[in-house]
Amino acid sequence: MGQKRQNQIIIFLFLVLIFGMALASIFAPKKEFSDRENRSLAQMPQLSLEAYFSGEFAKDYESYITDQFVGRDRWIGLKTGAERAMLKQESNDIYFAADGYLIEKHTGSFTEKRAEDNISYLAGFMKEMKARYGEGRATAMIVPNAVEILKDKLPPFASPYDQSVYLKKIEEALPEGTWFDSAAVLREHTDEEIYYRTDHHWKTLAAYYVYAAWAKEKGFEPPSLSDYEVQTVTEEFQGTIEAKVGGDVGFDSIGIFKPKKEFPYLVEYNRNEMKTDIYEWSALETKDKYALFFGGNHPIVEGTVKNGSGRRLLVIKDSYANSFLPFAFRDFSQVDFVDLRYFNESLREYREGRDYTDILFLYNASGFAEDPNVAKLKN
Amino acid sequence: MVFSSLLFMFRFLPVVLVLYFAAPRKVRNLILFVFSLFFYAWGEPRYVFLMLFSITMDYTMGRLISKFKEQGKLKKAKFALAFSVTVNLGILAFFKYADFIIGSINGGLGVSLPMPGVPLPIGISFFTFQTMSYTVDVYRGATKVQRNWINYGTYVSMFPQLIAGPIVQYKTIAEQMMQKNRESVDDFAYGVQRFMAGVGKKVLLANNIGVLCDTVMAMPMENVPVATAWLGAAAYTFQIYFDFSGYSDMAIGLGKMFGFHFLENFEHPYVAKSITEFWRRWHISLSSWFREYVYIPLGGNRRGMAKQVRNIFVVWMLTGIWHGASWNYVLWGLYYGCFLILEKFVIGKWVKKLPGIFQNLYTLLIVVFGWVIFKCEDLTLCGSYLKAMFGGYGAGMFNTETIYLLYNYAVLLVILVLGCTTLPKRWGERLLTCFREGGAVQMVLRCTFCAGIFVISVAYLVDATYNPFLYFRF
Repeated sequence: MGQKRQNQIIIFLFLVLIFGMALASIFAPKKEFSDRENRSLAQMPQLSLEAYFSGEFAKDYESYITDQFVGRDRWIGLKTGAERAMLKQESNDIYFAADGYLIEKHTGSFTEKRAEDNISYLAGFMKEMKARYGEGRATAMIVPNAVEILKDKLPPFASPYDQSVYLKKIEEALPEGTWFDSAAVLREHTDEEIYYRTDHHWKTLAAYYVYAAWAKEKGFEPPSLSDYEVQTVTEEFQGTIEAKVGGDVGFDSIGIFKPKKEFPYLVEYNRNEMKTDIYEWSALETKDKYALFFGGNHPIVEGTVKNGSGRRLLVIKDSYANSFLPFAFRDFSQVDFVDLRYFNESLREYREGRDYTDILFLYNASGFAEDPNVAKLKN
Repeated sequence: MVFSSLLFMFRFLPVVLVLYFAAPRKVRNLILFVFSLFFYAWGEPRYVFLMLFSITMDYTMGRLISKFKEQGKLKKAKFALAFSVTVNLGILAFFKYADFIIGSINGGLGVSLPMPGVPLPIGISFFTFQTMSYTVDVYRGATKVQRNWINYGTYVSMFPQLIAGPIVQYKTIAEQMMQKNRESVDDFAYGVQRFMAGVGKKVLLANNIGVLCDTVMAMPMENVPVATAWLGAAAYTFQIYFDFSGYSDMAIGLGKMFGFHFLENFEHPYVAKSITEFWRRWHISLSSWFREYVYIPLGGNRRGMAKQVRNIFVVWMLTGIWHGASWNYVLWGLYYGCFLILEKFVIGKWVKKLPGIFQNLYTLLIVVFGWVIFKCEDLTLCGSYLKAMFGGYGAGMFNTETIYLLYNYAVLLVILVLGCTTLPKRWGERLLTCFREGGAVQMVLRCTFCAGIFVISVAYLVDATYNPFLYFRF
């Protein structure tokens, strides 16, 4: 074989690679939605003169190629493999932590202006709620993320943003008696399974501990673990963090706490759909298994429980609350919750239209710092 | 459009290659021209018209200059040249420097003239310098006039070197432009390997160390310990070299595929033993341009020391501001001007007497500080960064984060250090010579090299959270 033949083979290889991938990418079936990443994928954009000259088309077309690239999930896994081979302890802002935990770093979430603004929105809201519902009846609970509570599992010398600084700031901005320190509760249980390994949520056990402590503070008899039958409903859960790194990652299990003595209840979704079960079992067949709790996020969910309690609770919440709220069905006869990301009515009108006795604001820390919808508290 | 993107590798390049090589030789330049315009227009189509105007103007002036010279009308030829240079510099001044100039006047005199706010056309510094080199060379008789508008347009707009250089002077490729059978299998194969090397440098090395640089730059400087500040500065030093020389590799490789031979733009600049040597190895096409079209016409070193010092300062101020319309670039240029003059007249002979490794360290130290000035467009940030590097904030020598960053990037840093030297090239060549020239083992090695870089780079591009284009200010 001569030099010429060698060069021909190199050229051939190159052409096979670029044409092969180009054709595979063009002809592979297009996906609307990525289950893994839990988001809609970019589609072929419409070409128009206007879109072309504004540069919109170029931008959309590039997202389309990237999103629809053939074997996308495997490529991402390969990249993570390369990062780990280089002994990197993180990839895409995610730590490869001990015991198979993937822990989000949340770089930058807490130092943006929005993080500060949201504190003042919340402080204003809690002041109003304390005046309206009385001492001890309005609570704000911002749950720290795994990166704060599971510090011991982080790679050696990792020093992510200290969320307790941010939580302290919130606590100081809030009116006396409205802050609930969920971090202190969780820190008692760091050797237990309180966060998912592959998902950004807390596990049901963590929600239970925090609920028990909060219920005690609200004057209820705190539930004990023996009041529940803990069932593992799946052991094949891979959550949102797994989707960001791909590759060889383990599985999580999801547990639910079934009360041994359960009161009958009805749950109404978005004022039009009644259900008699807070669990959406079909979610276990999908990638987004955390949607088992109430079928994911909705603008409004209204739960009515026949437990004879005189306390009625309104919760303003993000998805961390979904596994927390089932516990409230024991102590409150009304458990309503709105998700500001989807709720576009006047919160005041909604609230005043129904006679609540208690208000709870429940978010996870990074979600709270980043959410542009916290401003809707003023509505 | 940038080379290191899925769009370029899996849409643009395959289409260009098919049409170019399927077309009869007569129209190949036209195909290259049309696709280069499309390449340039991607994302920001309006400035294509600016480039077409510039092409047409310089094409016309080139022909006029040559005609006047043939007729012996040197004055008219000179006038046509002056017109071309004025218009080119005018375009550059308006589209690149208007905001900077007016902003500086406003700041200096305390007035508030309205800012034009023109968005910067990408690659404008590269293509205006190319077109100017053409009309000047036609006037000087250093190259023949190009009578075909399409060929001339192809030269100016040619996508491999359009947006990030190298600055290809017309005379370098004048002959190849007209040559009918310029492409060859050997050149194409070399181009493939060179392009892949460039992709790897950009996507795998520069982008990854860029993350470290940005991590450090994002920290509040008062809390940054000395070692972290140095780590960040080193990271940028690596990033800009592997990014820029990676682009040049890709450009040279792509040029070869189409049968064009661009000159080398980087020759392992970080092994230089003096600043003078560094600038003979860094962005060679830019320094040659300034030498040829500014320094020497100003008299170079032939008119006494005072004039030479002046000429060096003029060239380096221009070099600085060529990199971006901002004071830090001016400062960066003058900084190098000072060191070059110092080396020439004062410390040069002492430096030469140092042991080799100290010559390297001396050079690198100046280069690293230079990159800090270059990186920080905000001069206050530049000041605080330098302060952090000297421990001026009392944030200590290092902290846990320094250790974390160091061991996370240790493998990459070792690769980068080696990559700056001539070792990988020498090892590669030695490895290849172990086997028969043109033999199967050699082929397998070369193919593995290309395919390996290709596959890992694609993985990084598919999950592209960080793929910056550093030259949008040039």
